[in-house]
Amino acid sequence: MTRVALATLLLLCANVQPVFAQHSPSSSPEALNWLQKIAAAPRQYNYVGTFIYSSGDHIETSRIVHFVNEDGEQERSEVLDGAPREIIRNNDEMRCYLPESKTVVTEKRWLRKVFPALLPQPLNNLDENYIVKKGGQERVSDYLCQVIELEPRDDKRYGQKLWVDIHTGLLLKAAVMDKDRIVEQFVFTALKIGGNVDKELLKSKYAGKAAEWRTTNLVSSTVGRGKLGWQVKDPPSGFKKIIEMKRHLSGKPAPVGHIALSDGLAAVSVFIEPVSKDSPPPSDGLYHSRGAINIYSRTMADNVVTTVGEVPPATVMQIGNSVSRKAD
Amino acid sequence: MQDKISALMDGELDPEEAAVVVDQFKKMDGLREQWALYHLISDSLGQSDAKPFDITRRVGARLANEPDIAAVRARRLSMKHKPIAYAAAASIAAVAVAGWMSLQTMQQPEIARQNMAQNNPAPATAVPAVPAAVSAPAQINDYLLAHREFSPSTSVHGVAPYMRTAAESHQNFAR
Repeated sequence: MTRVALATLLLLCANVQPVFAQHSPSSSPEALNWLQKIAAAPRQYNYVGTFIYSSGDHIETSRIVHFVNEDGEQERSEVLDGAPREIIRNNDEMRCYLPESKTVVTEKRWLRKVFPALLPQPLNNLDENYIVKKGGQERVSDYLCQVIELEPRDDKRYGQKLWVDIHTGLLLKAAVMDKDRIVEQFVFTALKIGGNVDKELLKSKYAGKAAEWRTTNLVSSTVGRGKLGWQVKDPPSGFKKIIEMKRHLSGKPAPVGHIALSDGLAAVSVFIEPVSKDSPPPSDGLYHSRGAINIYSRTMADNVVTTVGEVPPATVMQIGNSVSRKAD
Repeated sequence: MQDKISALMDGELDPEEAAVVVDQFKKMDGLREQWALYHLISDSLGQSDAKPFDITRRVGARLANEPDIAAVRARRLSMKHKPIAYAAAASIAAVAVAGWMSLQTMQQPEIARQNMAQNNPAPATAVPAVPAAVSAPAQINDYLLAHREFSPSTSVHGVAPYMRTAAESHQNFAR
């Protein structure tokens, strides 16, 4: 009798689990495939278009020319509103020309390209924290698009909504959502996909003149050796540490501690540095940057802990507040 | 070169090509450091219990010796499942340049907004916002950049702050 009861119990347990699992539906494989298509598309198609970026009451129009060949991607974008700005991208090398201030800002980011391939974890992670769903079909800029939604499983992160061209997989519209509110979005208003691109369109307007301009290289970093001595003790569910290191940041005399966490889509960085006498730390509290980024600054003993991430304010605060020294 | 390294790490090169890349690699200090960093990231994700320092040393040692293609291939096996969110985010960057650029001109409006904020603390959020965020951008600047590097979705949308950063870092340098 006991045995039967036990067996029944086991059976029940075995059955109960899937039932619970059904309460939180998992991502659709088809929707995940669409994400993969989005990833591949810019390496396959030329396009020329105009798009709008908006966040809060800010709105801005830009033009983009994107060209692909066996050497990779080349791109020229130009902001059409306000002060002129031009960005030339050659694979992961960016040069941003600011003619009004006679400045060139350069950045090499091949990290961005190589780094993703090295992360085995985020895929699972993604489904743990978001339900990736295939939505309906909508027309954007005269192209029929598949809507893909990344719905957060809790309120620790924002959702995203993506409109993907059905034929090419190019992303034509994207929005960061805080429930039903749009935090920021961009959308193509005019777009031509495929065909030849006049190489002249990829040339910088300013490169010739820029030889005498001031050049700023944005970030230089080094790998940290040994342990950082800090930890994020109690991150919100789903956020896992992806790396910790010490790095040099331009304009900072001493290296800064950096811990990066991610939930598979959104990332949060924690920076720790000693309070500098020369530049007083920002006052403790929450800062809002444009779009989805929130910033939380906090002074701990003689250190400033700055938490930055494209997550809701409460999440940067929770992470920032759970930073502590790690006992050796 | 970057593409080649990327391909190498993905195990997409044949042994001869790989040998050439590794050879070039050995000559470039910066690349070597980056390579070490990638493996550090990879390993810190739980693929290995090795300590970061050991990994750096190990990678260095490997580079110092003959290219060990087998090791590269072995690593590839452990990366069968590419994280698509990251990959998607990375390649959406093209379009995301939108945000990248969108803040270049924002200095003046931003200051205006900050002043307004000083008068009436931000009404938008329920969380207490810091009213006078004047010193924040200049200081937080580099943080935004450094963060973006590790952020999958900033490549998609959150690039906006990056652009602002570019503008401000230029301001700082101008002083």
